[in-house]
Amino acid sequence: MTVNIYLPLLAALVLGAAGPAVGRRLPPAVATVLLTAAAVVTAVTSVASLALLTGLIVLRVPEIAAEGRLSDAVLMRGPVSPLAGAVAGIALLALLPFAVRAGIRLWRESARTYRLAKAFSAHPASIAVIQDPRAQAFAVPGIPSLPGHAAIPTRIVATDSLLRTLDEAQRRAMFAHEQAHLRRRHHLYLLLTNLAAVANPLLWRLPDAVTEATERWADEDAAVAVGDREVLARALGRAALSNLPRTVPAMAQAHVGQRVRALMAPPPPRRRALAVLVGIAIAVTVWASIDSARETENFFDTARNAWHIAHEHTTEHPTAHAQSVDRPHLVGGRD
Amino acid sequence: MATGRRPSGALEQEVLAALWAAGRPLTPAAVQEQVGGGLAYTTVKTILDRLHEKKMLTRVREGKAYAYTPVVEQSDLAAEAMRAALEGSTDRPAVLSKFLGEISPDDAAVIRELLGDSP
Repeated sequence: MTVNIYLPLLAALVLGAAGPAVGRRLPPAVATVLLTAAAVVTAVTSVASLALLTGLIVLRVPEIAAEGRLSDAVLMRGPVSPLAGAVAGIALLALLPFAVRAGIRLWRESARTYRLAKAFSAHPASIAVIQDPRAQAFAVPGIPSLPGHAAIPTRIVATDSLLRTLDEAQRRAMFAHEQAHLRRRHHLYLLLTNLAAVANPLLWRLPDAVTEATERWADEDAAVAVGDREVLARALGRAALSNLPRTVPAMAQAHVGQRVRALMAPPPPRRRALAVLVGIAIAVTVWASIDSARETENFFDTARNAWHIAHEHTTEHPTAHAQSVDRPHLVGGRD
Repeated sequence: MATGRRPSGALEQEVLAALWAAGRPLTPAAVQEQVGGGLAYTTVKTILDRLHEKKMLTRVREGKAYAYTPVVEQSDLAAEAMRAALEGSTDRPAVLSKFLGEISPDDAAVIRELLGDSP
């Protein structure tokens, strides 16, 4: 247990540090799916581990243990050192403000995207054109019909500058790229990864990594759809260069050059071994988390049994003698 | 490549995009030429008619045919929402996939090196 409970924390650290680089080495579709799965799994399990570690230490306080009808004598001999528990508790508290801030940001952006999708639900065509000097396009995800909520169809939005900058074949490649985002539901991967980063700020680099992977994925899909890698590379290059006078210092998403480079090269290799390795790491993290939860439960069962044995003959004065009566029965609670 | 089957909505997108790109009214014959990809004249004409019915195009008579012009987005709500999404391009986007991120000087150099000065 002592190893298993820390494994998700280690996984979050490793994923946060190495995830983006690993993603870049995998084919984009595989990278998107694996990074998203890894982010969600490590976010959930690492927070669960921190909560378990903190809980195991908090319960050492005799009053709290008595409240939970757990033998504090058993809890004191628990597998987690007070230091580890205290660090976990402080980490949980320290992560909270970041999580709140990231959560608010994600909520605002999602609400904005929702308003955008809703504003377009009345739009008569699947493409909307906005007059703007910047060459840009984006895919507005739809929302399937839900109870009490009409379906919102998907839309592609492009600026008139982009349409004028590209030639006919390049426009078709650009549309294929945006259509790929919608068909593959890339917004769901982005939403999940962003949620994971909200839960565990160690994963703050993952949303950008998955954004990058989905862009490359849509590029590869579009290249297949139009049967030509170079035409999309030229569409990207031409549109990006046309925006150049308005350039700001490189932001998180600045990887147009990398995407053009990838499109001018042959399709990415599969790298099955690396993908399998990441898959195994995810599975091990899940297993470790479940195993540590199960062992914690067993440990609590032991503490509960010890409490009941200690209090079988002393129900008339429950807590006063609890501590002294506990001890002789510890031997029984050790198995 | 150009004659491959296209997903639904794609033709509509291409026709509308061609009209926007042209910057002047186009007749169905001109649109057919611009869109390419072996589209039949009647197909182009049907799409133009449909877009006109949806009030996304205006048309004026030009000789024997109509010449079509795209209509600027009417809904203030949609236009405002689009602009908000565009403004967001300097922010780290969460769920909206944009065609282009910000371009850095390095990107520009890479693109010029790979594609030449006029891609």
